[in-house]
Amino acid sequence: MDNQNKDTNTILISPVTRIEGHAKITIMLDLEGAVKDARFHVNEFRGFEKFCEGRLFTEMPTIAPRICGICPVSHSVASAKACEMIMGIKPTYTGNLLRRLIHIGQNVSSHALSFFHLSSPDFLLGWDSDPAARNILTVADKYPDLALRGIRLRKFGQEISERITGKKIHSMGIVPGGMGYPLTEVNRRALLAWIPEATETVKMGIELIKKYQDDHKEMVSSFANFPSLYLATVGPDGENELYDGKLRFIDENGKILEDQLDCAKYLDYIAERSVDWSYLKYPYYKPYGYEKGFYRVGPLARLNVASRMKTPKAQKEFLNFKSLGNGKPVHGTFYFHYTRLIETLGSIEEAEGILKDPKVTDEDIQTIGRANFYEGVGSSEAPRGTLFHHYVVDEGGRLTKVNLLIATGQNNPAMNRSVFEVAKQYVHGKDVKEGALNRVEAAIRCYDPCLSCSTHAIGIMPMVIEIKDHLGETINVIKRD
Amino acid sequence: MSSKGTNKDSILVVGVGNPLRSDDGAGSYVAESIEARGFNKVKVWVTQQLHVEDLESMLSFSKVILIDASTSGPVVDLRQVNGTDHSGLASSHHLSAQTLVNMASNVYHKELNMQLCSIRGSNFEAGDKISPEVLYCAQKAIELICSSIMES
Repeated sequence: MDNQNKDTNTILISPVTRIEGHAKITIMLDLEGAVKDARFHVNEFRGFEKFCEGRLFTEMPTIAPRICGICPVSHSVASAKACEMIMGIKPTYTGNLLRRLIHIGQNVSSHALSFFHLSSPDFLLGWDSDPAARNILTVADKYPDLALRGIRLRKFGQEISERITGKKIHSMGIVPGGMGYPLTEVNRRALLAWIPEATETVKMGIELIKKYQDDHKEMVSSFANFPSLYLATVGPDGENELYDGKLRFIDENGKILEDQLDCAKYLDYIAERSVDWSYLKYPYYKPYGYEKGFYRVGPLARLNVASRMKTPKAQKEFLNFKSLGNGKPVHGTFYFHYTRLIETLGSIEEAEGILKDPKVTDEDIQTIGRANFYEGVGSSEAPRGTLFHHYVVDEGGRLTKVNLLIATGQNNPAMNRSVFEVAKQYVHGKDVKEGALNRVEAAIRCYDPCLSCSTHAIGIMPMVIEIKDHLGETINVIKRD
Repeated sequence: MSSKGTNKDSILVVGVGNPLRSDDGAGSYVAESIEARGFNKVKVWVTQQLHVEDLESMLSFSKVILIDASTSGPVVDLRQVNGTDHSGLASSHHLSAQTLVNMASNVYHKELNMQLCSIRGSNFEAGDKISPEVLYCAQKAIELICSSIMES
């Protein structure tokens, strides 16, 4: 970390650490040195949509997982669903079960990474601890059991994919109509054996975050706490749903704005606007317009939106979470961590149920079909929120248009607002302590953004926090290489 | 990659890199060349990135030899990896060899006997061809690794 431009009121943080991908933050001060605005910039660009044009639509479930090494399954699932809409087919019962299982595996793996590896250093070592040692290695040194459990929880999630498809990352088994590989009995038993350990680890994580929340009530409740709309997928009765379902929007008071929306109509409800300081667009809820329509997706949104969880242990924690808002949505950004773990607990319970389904090892795993329509839209709940794949094809089945609406992109306006709120609370003037900057970064880490996924970057981008004065002149730069 | 039983008398050779980024494919090229030689008790993996959950499997081998393309340093080199890098995780898409050695010590309380073979690449743009000069260095890398295997 180094400071520059000491004579002049903007703070720039770059790279934001312990997130997927890279970004910078600019903090603008007023004449008195108080924060008047803050921006989260994403400078990566990959353009995945453009280079998919011209390819056969059936290739997309194979190409799509390459967008991201953390949420490849969500991309494959959304892609396969879009293809199935073009073909006019539905996956088989077992095909759906296996997809649901592999999707759970990915979410467990991703959430384990986010909580135990990337965010726990802040809780366990302290926001103001030595930044050079504030990482998973020090956590492993001081809390080896927790670190090991975190690693093994991630391993469990990836082993689900490996035992079905042979690959733990970028697996290729998800195809239009279902799955390309069945689950063998040996592998079913091996995965089932993981359930007690995985459950225990998540419960440890939940106890850890609940204790932290109890011990730091003021900080947790005030940390980037602002009202917003929320979007998530729900089941027919409004239950939490990650793999398949319909969309629900709620407002800042919990009122249901839209319910049981078909994902194919997403463009009727979501619009995007470009900004000149980031490659990440600003999506918003169309009926409310750009200024009032910003919404959040991801674990906090999913639990705010859902009426209930599907499994008993998760439901118990869900009720505790709901009590925090006294029946209203919980807006505190810090609660992303708690909701991430509640969701993980529910996913493990659901995985156990799937693995005990007698049909999970059936070999009737794929429905065969061909292109019958010109357009298809698929969605899934990626670890970071609702994900859309939208394809238009010509008569030969070649893609003429591809639109990917990624979870991190949808959280972009909220991430900007979170950075602003935390900066207002912790940054005063140009001489800023590292711990304060870490809190600004942590506001972004709550969303667990995957910037390379949402913008589809090439290469590595550094992270900078830049502080600008009331005239727009840069007065301090904190840079991490 | 997964841990399937113990491999205490075996050596693990891991080729790291993306074969669709030209010289970044040097690691997998060398690893597959080692595999083709049919050594007893040598297992070969090819992966695009190193992950923390690979550790458990790596620790079941007597020695792990990583092969990776580099952007700087010697044109070809084989050296023991010591756990000196405490930079932790800025991201989680991949880990360094040093971080793996540190994690093995801190989390599993075990010493990971790891060698790193680096091959300096010159072209990391999209493509499936390795530069001729890097292919030449890859042959040197194969000789170094074969010697290390036979010494074990």
